[in-house]
Amino acid sequence: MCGIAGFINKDGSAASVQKLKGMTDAIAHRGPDAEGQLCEDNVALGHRRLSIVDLSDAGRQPMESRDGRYAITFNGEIYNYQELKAELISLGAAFTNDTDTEVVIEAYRYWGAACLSRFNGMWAFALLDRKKRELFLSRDRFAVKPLYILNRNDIFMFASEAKAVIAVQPEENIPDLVQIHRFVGSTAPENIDGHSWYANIRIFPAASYGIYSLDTNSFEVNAYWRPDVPEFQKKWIDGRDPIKTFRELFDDAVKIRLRADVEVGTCLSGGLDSSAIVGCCSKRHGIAMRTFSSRYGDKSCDEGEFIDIVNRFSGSKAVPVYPDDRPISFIEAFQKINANHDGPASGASLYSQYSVFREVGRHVKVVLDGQGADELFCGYAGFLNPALRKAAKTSSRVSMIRTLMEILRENDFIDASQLSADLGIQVFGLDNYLDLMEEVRKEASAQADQVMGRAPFTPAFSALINDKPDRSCPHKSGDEITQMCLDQTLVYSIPQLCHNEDSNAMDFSVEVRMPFLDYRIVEFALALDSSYKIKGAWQKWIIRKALKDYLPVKVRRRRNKMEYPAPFFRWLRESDEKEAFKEIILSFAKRNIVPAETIEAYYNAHMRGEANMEQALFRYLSLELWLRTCNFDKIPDCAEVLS
Amino acid sequence: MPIQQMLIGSETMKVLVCASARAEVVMKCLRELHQTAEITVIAPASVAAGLTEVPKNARLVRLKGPSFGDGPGNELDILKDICFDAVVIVSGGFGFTGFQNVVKVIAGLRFRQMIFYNQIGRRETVRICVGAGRTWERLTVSTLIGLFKVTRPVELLIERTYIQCAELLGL
Repeated sequence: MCGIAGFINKDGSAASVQKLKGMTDAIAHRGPDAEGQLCEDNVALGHRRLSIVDLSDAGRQPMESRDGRYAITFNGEIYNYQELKAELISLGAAFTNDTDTEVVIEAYRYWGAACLSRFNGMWAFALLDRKKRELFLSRDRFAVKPLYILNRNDIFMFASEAKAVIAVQPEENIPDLVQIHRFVGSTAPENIDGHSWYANIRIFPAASYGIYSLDTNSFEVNAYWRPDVPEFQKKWIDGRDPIKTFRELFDDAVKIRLRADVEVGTCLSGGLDSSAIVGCCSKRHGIAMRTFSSRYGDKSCDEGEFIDIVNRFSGSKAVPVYPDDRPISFIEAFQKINANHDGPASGASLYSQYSVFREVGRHVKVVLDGQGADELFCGYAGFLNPALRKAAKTSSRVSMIRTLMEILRENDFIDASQLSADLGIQVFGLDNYLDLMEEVRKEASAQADQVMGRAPFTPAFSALINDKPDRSCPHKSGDEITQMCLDQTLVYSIPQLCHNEDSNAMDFSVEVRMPFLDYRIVEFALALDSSYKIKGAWQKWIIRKALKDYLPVKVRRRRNKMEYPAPFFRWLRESDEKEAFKEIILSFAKRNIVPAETIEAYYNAHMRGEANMEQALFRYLSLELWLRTCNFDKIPDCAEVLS
Repeated sequence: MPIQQMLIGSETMKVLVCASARAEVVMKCLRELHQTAEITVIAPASVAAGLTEVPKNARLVRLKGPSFGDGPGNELDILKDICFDAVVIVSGGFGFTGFQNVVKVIAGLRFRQMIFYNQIGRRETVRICVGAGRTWERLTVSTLIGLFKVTRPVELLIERTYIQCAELLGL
């Protein structure tokens, strides 16, 4: 985990060290251990280092190759660097240090862009090839490490965070209206189509590399990895026992992510995924880790029961974090989170995560985290309908009725209204389905009638937007569940979660490693038949089965799910900052983006306890805090809105 | 298979489309229905506003409320006494809010098929029992539901006991 930044002056003028330092200073939090700048003619490469592997000065960056041909600024980890290094040595490569960064340089020397397919890790880097006069940029397969690009007529810039660009090009502090539209209306996931929160700053695509020619100033981007499910099927599934295969892949994914010259801890939520990681480290690799968990007095947001069981089971050293303790106010924390994210935070859960990383940063530099399992192994409630629909084709009606009854009544994370009508009618019959829905709907939470169907945007703002986001994953599968897994992993969920995680962790100079996003596990999971992912009412079934030795029984048989919960709904109503929240939320109405009467209706309904509008209200709050830091002078035709 | 081939009914088929989804998904459905004789489309006003192409043989009923039957007055009464051959649901999200209100007002419930479009336009067809078969289905399924309501708490008790024993053994 480090920070990279750089630029190329397209007119050939000399790159300014001062400007480069301005960029790297803006991302100093990503790498407090060292900094480096390389300016050569019109090219600048900058780096901020967080020392994890080879703590000596040999690991300083930008790093040059022995022969001086290459220079690299690298952020990330190549977990299989030792194996690659051995292979490169057999090909004649020579190394001067023990870093994975040098392995990247030599791998590129020998294999070119094809080296990327050999990397198992997370990365964003820029590599200068002086002989070819090219700058080679790349990002890992699943957007774990960030990379932003600004490509103007006069300058090409890249950086780990947009703020590094804005620090030296303040005129680029222009909010992207399309992002605002998507954020407020939840019309599309954030950060798709390459959109960042700034109008001209783009997000470099995952699983891609770009080649910038210093001679022609052209910049071409290509993909090096695509989800080829039939190919993954041959590679990981055919002729194999899926349970055994998954266990082996998981064990190795965890093992190589433990490679570090510093202590490694784990974020532990008490859910299946992080518990499996802790259990694997303990039972398989003999390491009793330090675990970091968010705890709340509010039982609706606390998973302490499961956290304690896992810590006892694995002999871990528990470090509980109490976000309610609030060393700084919520508002200050949300402002910091927004600043970290280079855009408004999308949910209050990020406050819990932020609090955890604040504590992590006091103890360790590296943590493991369970992100990815829900998207790959059907952990979210949204997977249930298509999976059950598929099961209904082969299962008896009696067993389907039983399964649906279980899910409707005992999974407290699934709202009954989430059951697809077609599935419910097919299984229960029309009349029983309607009766059941009537009965169950009374128990489910409901939004007040007066807040439903309100206009999400003002006509003035709607007139500024012509957005047709491409919501679909570009990679298609004939199987609905596989398609959902692809959508969640590559478009809807993982990129945003990785962004959140990186942004929150880096504020405290913490590196996060995600075993479930090991590309081998991802390929395996995408090819895996859904019957291994959802069996009856059990989601993520293969994790429960294959990793059962790593999980206490109570966690293994857990069905409810919380996602870094935070009781924002209660803070809005009861905390000592509720007046401040109100002021910010209602002042958002003056931006003329969302009709004032909509905001007021949502706010009043929430405060009266008629509805839980925390999601919408948090977004208004977060967006308003962020917009206060932006510059609107350059946005055409927005006199009526925003400012 | 085009929808009109899937429908069972008379030459002049009556199809009810209950639409509460993105306009492009609704219009996809209507395009696939366009040869059917009589189409009635009911949609909340916010959805209806986005329907720029409605077949000539279709009539569009704009509901005032955000959902079906939640608006003022009895705006679904125009559906009374119509025996639809098929009901098409175009749903924009989880569940289908207010559908039960629609079913209540449809006379006869003669339709034998329900066709569902989800929010990305994926289509599923469900056959509906009619006559004695429907009564039998209602009876057997409700009996099973009642049975599982009794047995499930017992299963859960056994599971909780198993987990507690396992915890005591440190598993």
